[in-house]
Amino acid sequence: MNTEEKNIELIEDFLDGKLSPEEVKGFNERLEIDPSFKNLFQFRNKIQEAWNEASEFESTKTFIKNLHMKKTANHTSRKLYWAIAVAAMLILIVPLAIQFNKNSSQLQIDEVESKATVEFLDQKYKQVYPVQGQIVKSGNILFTWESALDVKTAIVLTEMESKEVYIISPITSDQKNYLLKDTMPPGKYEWKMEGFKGTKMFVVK
Amino acid sequence: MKNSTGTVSTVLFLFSLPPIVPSIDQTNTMSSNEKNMSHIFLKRDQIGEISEDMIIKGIMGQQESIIARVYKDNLSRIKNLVWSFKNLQLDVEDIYQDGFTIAIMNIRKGKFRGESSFSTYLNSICRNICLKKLKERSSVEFNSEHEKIEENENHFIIQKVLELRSQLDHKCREIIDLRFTLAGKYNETEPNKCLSFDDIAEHLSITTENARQRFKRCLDGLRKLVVSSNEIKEEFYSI
Repeated sequence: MNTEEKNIELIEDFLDGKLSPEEVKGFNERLEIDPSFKNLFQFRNKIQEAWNEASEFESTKTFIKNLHMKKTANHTSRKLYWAIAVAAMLILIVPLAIQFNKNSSQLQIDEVESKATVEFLDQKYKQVYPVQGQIVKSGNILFTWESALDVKTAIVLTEMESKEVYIISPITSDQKNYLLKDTMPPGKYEWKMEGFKGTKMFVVK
Repeated sequence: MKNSTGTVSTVLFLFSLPPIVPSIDQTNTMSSNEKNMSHIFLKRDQIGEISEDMIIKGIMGQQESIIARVYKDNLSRIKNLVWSFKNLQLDVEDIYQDGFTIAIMNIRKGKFRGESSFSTYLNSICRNICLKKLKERSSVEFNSEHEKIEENENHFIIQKVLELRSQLDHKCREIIDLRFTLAGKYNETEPNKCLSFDDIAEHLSITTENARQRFKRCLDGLRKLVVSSNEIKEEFYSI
């Protein structure tokens, strides 16, 4: 273990409150007399702040991108719906039954394919924590699921009594957990992933 | 007979599609506990006039309908702004999304003081990103005529940290994320609160000692990357 790694270990113990009062005193004295140690301590604190800001930036940008893509997709599908509706009306007036049946079959095929995709994703997605009916302490709840979902989605927490959404937060395709640091009011909540079927109820005491 | 039944049912299906716009109407009232919890749904005609107050509340409460609308409303103006930097081949959407993200983060952290409209604020952030890129690419000296890059003060560091982060292996990113209390949940009141090594170990199904060792090695690796980068070193080592 090199010197820097030893110093990192000491700093982490200090941050976790694991040093005895005497060790804390020695730690503070060292900060005053050892510039390289002070440098490392300063780096440790600043990098955490910067790392978290960068993470927040990344997840917020992903959220915005997804929102934009969803909006664009909605806009396109809205146009598509109208186009199909107009086509259907024309077919009613000038019945071209064979052609229309092709479209109808295609819609059914798309529906079946879409259902199959959702079922495939749902098979991949297994909620690990909190499990159904679990009682958890408020603050620092680490929501976890079995494997990364390979799609960008969002975690949704709903307060069950009022049915109000407590939080929606973007989840990246390689994320396997989500830490909620908020102090949640006591009550029954449900958590799920946007677009996925499974939900789990948990109780915050 | 079979064909006509198919025709009618498909037409009925088309007309039974869900309405395009949610119909719940709560545009003007917000109770105190709604600030963080509820969603405001807007009818399309009401959305035309979003007040500044609603924009801020919408962003604070992560209201998708409002954020999406504000994004769309400002897009063409910002595109024109970015295109006005004719000599730079900039990715318009990327700059806009960066600027929009910074604006949202600043609002959530209370850095936006409401001295200008949101659109003006966003415009100034995106303009500053373009100026920064101009400076990087053409070694133009900034003078007093250029705006101060106050709103974007962290954008440069964020970009650099993201670059450094991508150079770490997956296990290192994961354990640093966990220790630094996971992506995107920066808490200003306790900026250096950490997840304990016991919790990290439980989460990763490894021993506490392994978690400590891995984190120590990864943080040291990150430190070396910072030290080797002249651009960012002074941000972290100012002594």
